[in-house]
Amino acid sequence: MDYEFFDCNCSIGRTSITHPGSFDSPEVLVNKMDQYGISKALVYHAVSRDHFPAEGNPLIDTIVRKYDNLQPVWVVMPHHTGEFPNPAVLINEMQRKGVKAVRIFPSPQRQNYSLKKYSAGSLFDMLEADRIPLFVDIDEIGWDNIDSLLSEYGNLPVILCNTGYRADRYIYPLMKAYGNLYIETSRYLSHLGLEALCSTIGSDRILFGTSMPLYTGSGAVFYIRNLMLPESDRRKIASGNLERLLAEVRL
Amino acid sequence: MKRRIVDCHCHLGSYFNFYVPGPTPEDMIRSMDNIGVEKSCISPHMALTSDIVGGNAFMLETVKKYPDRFVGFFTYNPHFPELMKKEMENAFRVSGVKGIKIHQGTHGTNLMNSAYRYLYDFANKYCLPVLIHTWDIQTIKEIEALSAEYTDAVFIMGHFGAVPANMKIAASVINSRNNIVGDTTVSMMFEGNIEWLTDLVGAEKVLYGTDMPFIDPRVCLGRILASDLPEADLDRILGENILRILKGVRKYEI
Ligand SMILES: [Zn+2]
Repeated sequence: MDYEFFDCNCSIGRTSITHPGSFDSPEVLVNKMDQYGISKALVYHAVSRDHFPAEGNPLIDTIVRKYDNLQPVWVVMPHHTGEFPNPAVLINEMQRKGVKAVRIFPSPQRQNYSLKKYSAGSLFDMLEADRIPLFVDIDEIGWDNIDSLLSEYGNLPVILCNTGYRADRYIYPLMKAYGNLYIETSRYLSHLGLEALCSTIGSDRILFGTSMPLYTGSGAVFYIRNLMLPESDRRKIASGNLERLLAEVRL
Repeated sequence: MKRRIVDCHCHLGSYFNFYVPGPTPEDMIRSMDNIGVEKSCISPHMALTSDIVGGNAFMLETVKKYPDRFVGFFTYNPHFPELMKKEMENAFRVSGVKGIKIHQGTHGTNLMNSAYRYLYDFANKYCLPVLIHTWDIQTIKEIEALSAEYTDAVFIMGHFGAVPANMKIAASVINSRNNIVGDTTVSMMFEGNIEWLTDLVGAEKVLYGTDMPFIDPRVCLGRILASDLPEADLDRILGENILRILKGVRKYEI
């Protein structure tokens, strides 16, 4: 029996730096997904990341209306300056647009704000109350910030993306300590690492992702298909865990 | 005929900087069997970052124990030139040792270090592949110079320059020589990268390499198998190229 792939880590839209062989249009993305055997994807817009969330998020809404296998992810940030909606307005907007997952880019190199209560507390309170999955790249947050976030918002599902292959000495203790931490697979590349992680913490908190269009989508699929784990585990990682997280959203 | 898959760039053992869940030869064989890889070329981590003698001994022990699955690459550390001569002589008596690994980065030097000359002469004499950690433009330029001087040695640009801007420069150097190839070993496996590299230098000069067990080989193999390249090109990249290079190695005589 085959199983579905649901990519949790995907973006689209023009970027200032391009890589030869890659792409930026949604048409190519859905073709690639089809070619690689990925049936659905959570997608945010590159403009939300590289430029400004309030201008990028409407762009992803427009794109997902055209493709029923793409689901929107909004990039969110604190509202205090007035440049981004406050949590109460944001949650209404998300509900209206069918947005069930968000992502943050808080690092000084990107959107440059604090994750402490004085800055992001009300935003995280809102996300936690509705169990809205929060995606973040490890380079955007760092290991100590992720520890604070997970301990302060115990019901907020946090999906750590693009962890790399040198991260297990952080990931193991964090995953053992916090049941609300999830790991995305695209760059979790230690040798036999997913098998080892599953044998320690189980397969329920591992989510398939590609990091397309930057990184290889076909390699990401082949990795999961060829895990030396029971099919039930591979199925959960490929799509089951993400489907479950999205079903638990209270919006 | 069945496709042969040979990984030209592997290591072996645990590592100081992070947890390696599958470090042993047996773990690697399990991985190789899982995805249909026949052989892997190995140079242990210990030889790169720590004890050169202990690291090469681990390579020899592994090649002797599993001659059908591993090809030994002797790691050369230029800080110990006299020791290296002796160790190399011993190592190349073992029939499964067929290449040399240079990691000038972890050994804190560059390819023009005069202590490397002995190995270049040796590689030239026996037509050996020399796998070089090729991450920056300086290294690419040094390989350009050395490959003109040592025309019977085969220089493998491990990592191909690592990022697209450097890969482009590496490709132009590869195209200017008959004795330089590049491998696919990177952790940043960009979408469309394999097709692009093959377009730049031709399928005869792109070699499948993964850095196992530093990095899991599955993502790299998957991106090659699913690429838009013709089957004949996949055969070359995945095995024929490195097998051709290994076949060209002259028998070692003391
Ligand atoms: Zn390497």
